[in-house]
Amino acid sequence: MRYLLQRIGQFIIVFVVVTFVVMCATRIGSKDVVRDLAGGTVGDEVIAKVEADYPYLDKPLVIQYGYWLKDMVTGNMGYSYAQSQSVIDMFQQRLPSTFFIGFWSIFLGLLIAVPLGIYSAYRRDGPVDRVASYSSFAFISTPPLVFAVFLLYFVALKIDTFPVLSNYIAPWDSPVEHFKNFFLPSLTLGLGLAAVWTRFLRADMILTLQSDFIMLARAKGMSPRRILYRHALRSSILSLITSVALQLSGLVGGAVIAEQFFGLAGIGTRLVFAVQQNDILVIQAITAVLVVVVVFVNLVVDLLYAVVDPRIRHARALG
Amino acid sequence: MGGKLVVGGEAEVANPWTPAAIQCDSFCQMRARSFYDPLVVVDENLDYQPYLAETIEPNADNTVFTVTIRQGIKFHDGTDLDAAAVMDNLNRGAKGLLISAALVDLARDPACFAAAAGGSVVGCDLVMEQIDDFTFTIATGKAGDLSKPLPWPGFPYYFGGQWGLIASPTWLAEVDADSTKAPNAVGTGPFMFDSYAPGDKLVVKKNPNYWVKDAAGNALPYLDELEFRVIPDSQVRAAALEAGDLDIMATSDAGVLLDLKDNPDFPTLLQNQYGETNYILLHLTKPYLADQSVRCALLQALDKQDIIDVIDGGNGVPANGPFSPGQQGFLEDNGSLPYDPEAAAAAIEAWEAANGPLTVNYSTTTAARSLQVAQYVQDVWGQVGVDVTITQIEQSKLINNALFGDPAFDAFGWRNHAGLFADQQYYWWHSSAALPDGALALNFGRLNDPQIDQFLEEARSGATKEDRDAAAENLNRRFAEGCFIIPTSYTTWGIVHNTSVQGIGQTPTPDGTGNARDGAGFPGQVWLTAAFKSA
Repeated sequence: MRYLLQRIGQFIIVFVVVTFVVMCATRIGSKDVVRDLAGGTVGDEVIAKVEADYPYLDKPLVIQYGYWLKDMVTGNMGYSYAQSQSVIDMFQQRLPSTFFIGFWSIFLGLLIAVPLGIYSAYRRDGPVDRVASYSSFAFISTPPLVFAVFLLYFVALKIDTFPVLSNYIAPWDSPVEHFKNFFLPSLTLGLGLAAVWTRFLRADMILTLQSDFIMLARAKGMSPRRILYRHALRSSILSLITSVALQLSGLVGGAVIAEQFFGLAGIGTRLVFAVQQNDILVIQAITAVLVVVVVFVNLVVDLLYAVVDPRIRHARALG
Repeated sequence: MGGKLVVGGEAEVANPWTPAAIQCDSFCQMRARSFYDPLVVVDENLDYQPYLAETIEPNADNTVFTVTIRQGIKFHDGTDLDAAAVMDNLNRGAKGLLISAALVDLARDPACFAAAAGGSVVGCDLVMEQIDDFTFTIATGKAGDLSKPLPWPGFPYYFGGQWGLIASPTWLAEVDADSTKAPNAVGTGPFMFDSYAPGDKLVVKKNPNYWVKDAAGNALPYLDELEFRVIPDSQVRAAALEAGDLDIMATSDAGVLLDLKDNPDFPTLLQNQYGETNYILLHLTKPYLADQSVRCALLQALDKQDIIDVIDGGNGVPANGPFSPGQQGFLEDNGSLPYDPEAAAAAIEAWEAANGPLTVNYSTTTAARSLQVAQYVQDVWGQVGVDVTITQIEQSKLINNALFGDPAFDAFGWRNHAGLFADQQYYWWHSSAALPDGALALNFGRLNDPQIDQFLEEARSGATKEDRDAAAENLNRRFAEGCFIIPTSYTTWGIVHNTSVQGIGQTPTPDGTGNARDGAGFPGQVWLTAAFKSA
């Protein structure tokens, strides 16, 4: 309980600091906040409406932040006058695409990294390990942009199965169409993630496999499969879990590329557009949601540590 | 016939979709004309033909126009199209921030005009009189003054542009009360609004009661549905077309057009007339740019053909002035100064000897080609002694910086001035639109030249076509003489589609007098009223 309260306290501090800094940045970049919010070149009636809807825009930044926070907490995420769309509608429209790109990227990354990392560690310096190592370095060095271009021109254009222009189709509406539309965008990010995680897991597993308890397990006659997956992996997975959590915020940047190249309308491209337009409330709302998601995921990861490693569970219980 | 067409375009619109508020580029025009009809269209002979209007009759001196609206047409929400609906739309547009600047010579309500006392009359109603349910008059007036009627023979063409797109007044009133309804457009057009996701897609569905028929009397449109996808990257758009995810797309990317132009699977409708000119827009109130010798030196330092060769793979036509081939006023030789870097360097040196070092801030959009042009310009201007700093800004902010005369605005990479007639460029260049920095001005460069003003007024009010043509050509020559802009090339748009798409460019005029010209002077778009997909 005390741990949970600590984490909630941390979340509040991080949320306030990050969103306040972002708000300040949007104000610094703006010559006329009201006009920017109104959508740029608009008539006086729109300016008047914005001033009526947001009468605090000429107040000190701290006061503006207070009003914004109050609105967020009460569910009013604001309105994009430039796009004539409420921010909530924008999230409803775009968040699923970004969510599934991120989700499947992580899934694909782990799907590749876990067995490959384990096997590479188990058969260190063998042919598979060498190929995996060289490939990992290549994929780590290659930006997602290059993957996107490659997949677009050499896979989507050549194979009819995958569209160049993806559409958002929910997995519960049509699993097959969902797979077709999200596979390449997810792979764009997933390949890089898989490369990083393969290296992490391999390194951890190599150390773990040299441990005394693994030697004991071997001496007891356990099968390699059981040793690797039941004992070694469990000890080695903490750094992998940490990396997954850390990569999450970077996925938004990667999602922009996947969304841009494969035509998916997600949060990433909307954020870029909002920054270009200085669509202030959209920028702040997306930032706020991202902070919540990243902090929440890191909280889940911290809790997972206790699940995976009983020593941590025990230490927390004592502390 | 039926079926669905997926259309790709480059940019999302701002302030969708009320006609008075939308900041409309070519893809916006293509979409808007699916659910709105204009009052007039331009036919293949470049004459205006009434569309939603039935007749437009000028008085003897082209100062008052009597407009009769077609009867029996309803908006998608069941509201009747009549004179009151049209007048409502026209007034809203005339009070819109951007459109109002283009209609400066329409008369405004005299009482309101007098009360403005020389200030802005944008908030004043137009002088329109409703004669009956379907007829009204509209009057011209120099700078909005009804007591100074202005002969304006080409005025009806303005009904073919954004201002002439007519929306349901019932819906417009709903938008006044609730701005969240603004994206749900209601017009009289061949398609009806279905759904809109900003930055993603717009879906429109067939209007089963559309009032225009084809030559054989069959109902239009043929298609059941249009889906418009915003895909900013032109290469991705082209790939999507090749993969079959798009049926048709518009692009001005020279590389894409070059790649696809000989591909029989993807016919291209090239729009290389009446198009935009690529040029460097100069902020003429800056002391160094107010000096003609500096402007002309900057122009002479640029080898336009070399820019085209280096950046566009040789695919393009060098521009010598603001008018593109086909436009009124276009001249093969307008007296523009030739490429002469030595002369340019000498002029810059002379200016710097008297005034000190010359630094120019060159701003452009974030597109890759724009940066390439900027870097080229930086290099060649550097060779003649000018220091250039490059700033890349998102397009709508770039436009805002020009509109409001941002202090950082020296030179902008720009593209503009599509159209048929010189009169359509009036508000970009007349000194009446050259407001001081800080005020909104469509005359971005703050051009203030008496000869330019004179020729623009003659192009607007000249008694005969020959007079107006001569004025447009004089305008072109004056631009060349004064080096008020630095033209580089003409934009070529291409409408590229797969072979199943038919019927583009064949939107019939209601009176059966032929087909409407796609774009009506605004290239990069095609009207899909009569489009269909073959098996």
